[in-house]
Amino acid sequence: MGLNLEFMLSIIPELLSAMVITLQISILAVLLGIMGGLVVGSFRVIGPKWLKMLIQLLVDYIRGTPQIVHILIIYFALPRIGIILNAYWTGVVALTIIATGYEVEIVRTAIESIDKGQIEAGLAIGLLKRQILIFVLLPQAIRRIIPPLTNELTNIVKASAFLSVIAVNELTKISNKIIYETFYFFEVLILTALIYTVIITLLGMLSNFIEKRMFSTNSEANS
Amino acid sequence: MDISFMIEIVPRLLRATWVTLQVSAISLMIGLVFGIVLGVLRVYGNRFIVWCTKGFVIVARGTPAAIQIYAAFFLLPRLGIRLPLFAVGVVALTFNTSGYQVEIVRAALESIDKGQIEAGLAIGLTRWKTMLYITLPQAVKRMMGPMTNEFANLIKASSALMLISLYELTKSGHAIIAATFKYAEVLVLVALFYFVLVQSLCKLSAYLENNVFNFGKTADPRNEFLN
Amino acid sequence: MEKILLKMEHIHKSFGQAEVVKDFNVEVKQGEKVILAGASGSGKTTILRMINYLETPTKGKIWLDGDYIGGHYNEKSEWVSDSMQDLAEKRKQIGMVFQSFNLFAHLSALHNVTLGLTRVLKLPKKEAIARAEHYLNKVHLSEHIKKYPHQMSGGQQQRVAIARALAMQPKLMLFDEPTSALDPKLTNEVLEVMQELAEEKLTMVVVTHEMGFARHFADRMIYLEDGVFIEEGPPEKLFTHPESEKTSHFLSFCGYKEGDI
Repeated sequence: MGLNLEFMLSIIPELLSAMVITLQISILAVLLGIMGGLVVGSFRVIGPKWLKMLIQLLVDYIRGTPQIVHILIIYFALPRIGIILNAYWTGVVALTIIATGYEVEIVRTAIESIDKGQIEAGLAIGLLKRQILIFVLLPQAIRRIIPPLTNELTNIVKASAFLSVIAVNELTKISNKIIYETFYFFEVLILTALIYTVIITLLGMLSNFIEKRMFSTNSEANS
Repeated sequence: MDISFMIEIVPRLLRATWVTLQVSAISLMIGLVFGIVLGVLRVYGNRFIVWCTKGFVIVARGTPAAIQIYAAFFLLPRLGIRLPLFAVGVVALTFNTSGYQVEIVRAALESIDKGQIEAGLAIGLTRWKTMLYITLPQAVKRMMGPMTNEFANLIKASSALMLISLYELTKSGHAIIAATFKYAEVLVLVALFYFVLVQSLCKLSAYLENNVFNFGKTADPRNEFLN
Repeated sequence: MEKILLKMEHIHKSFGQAEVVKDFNVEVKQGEKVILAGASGSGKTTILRMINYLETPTKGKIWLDGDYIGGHYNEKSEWVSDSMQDLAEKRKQIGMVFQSFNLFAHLSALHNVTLGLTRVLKLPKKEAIARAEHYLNKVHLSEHIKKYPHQMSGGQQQRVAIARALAMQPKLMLFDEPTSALDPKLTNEVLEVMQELAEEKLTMVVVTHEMGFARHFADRMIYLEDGVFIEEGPPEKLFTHPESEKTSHFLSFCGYKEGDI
């Protein structure tokens, strides 16, 4: 069962442009997710008890339910509440919600990993809780957020494959389409798997690199 | 919300949940065999073997579950292996979970104090026997927490089997929606079922790590932000 | 007679089952330097941390210059606990120096000092910087104001922490074992700065194991054991003629080993 190399070469442009869609959606979702993650994660740390519990419940729900189920829920629920989006933006919304769920935990872990003495020093000079969060904790937490955030991007890239279910023209959907048109599934799947592996491995290396750079030098932050 | 409709579909969704549990549990168990064998080779093998296991882990963890499932679905028949859909699902999920389990086993093995190995060698055991009688039994205890967690991940990943129309929980829900268009009722139940399953496993995993096997931590290789 | 600045009345503190401070009372006069001494676990650090409510007393009241800390009595003489805002308002009158420095890790020495000035005292930026530079100069760090905490020695970090507390121009300064994380050379840097402050009539409550320093620094020394007040008096008296067997035992154990400065 030899591979049809000529065919493989011919579909590379189409797969690569689908890959760009995959990356676009994933990066958008992670960036939008970090805004949600910073705000919600902050409330998770300093909010009143009922709010903390509510946020934790939502986070557990998002992390504890399959991504496909979230995607289906968003797909069906958005039009119902009057928000009509095309497949691409529905996908962005769904992945953003998934990403936010994980990023709240990233932000919380980062804030909670900061030495308690920093909070006490802030209290001792008369700063309010909210000021301590903004001026002392978050600036220090940001650096600890970046490596796991890169890691989260790999998770979201993998999750974006499920957007094929709601007909977003990302890599998995396009590769499936080519398979059904041509039945060269071996060739298509090898290329698709290869593209995903390369993206995810590169992102993993980036994450490791950032982590080493940021933590080994104990770097010089700007105020 | 149509409550009576929801009650009506509960038995059907419960049967589908049973399929979800079966396909995940069987994959977890088969994956465990691969995980331990490859994990041990990953730590103790020669350079070529280590290189191969690393490659396997990169591919298994670097491709989306969706692609792995399509691959099993299309490629197995091409190789002349005709399996029922359920077994195709098991093959795909086993491939998926093995990649993660290798890393769990590796992390557990590497977390065992070097002194344990030296003590084993010092009383005259060979390298492999030290591994078999000293390191592995200690590592197994440290794997219990992450493995329970991995089970929860598999349950979530198994939802992707809807792509090949295996009637597990998500696909069953999807089919009911297609027939009745009562998506709110169905999706609430589906999400709830998964949530309960995964939460109980996570609680169990935390309990195992904190109380039962509390003699030193193993890092979960997938880090704490589980997929 | 000098006015009384700080009062602690019948203070108790329990952590779970363990009662670490039992019925502690003290009055500190304006300008007085008080040393809390005792073995580790004697409750002295807990007492210090209760003064600015980093620990909440289980029982008892703390009073600073006309106000209770942690709450107040309303018209009906009922106790009302302070909100976070009230507490912050009161804490800014109390400077605190920690054992582990606790400099803000992401800020330079200068900005460690200005943060409280701009955000709590709401000083304009220029004024805040001028004041910060003044106090950093006072702790002999004018050349290091641009450095970040990880670029400084422990002694330098602790002096920045002292400047950070002083710049708020507090009524009272608390020192929680300020030198116990430092080696002897760096310890002296910090003790010298504290000695200079003592000459400026600043009110200070200090927890320390440096008995040689305590002896000529303090106006009064309080000795505690297992959370219980044992005795107090001028350090000279405690060192030479202690009333309690326990005090003499403790001081003979650690006091003379460390030597005078």
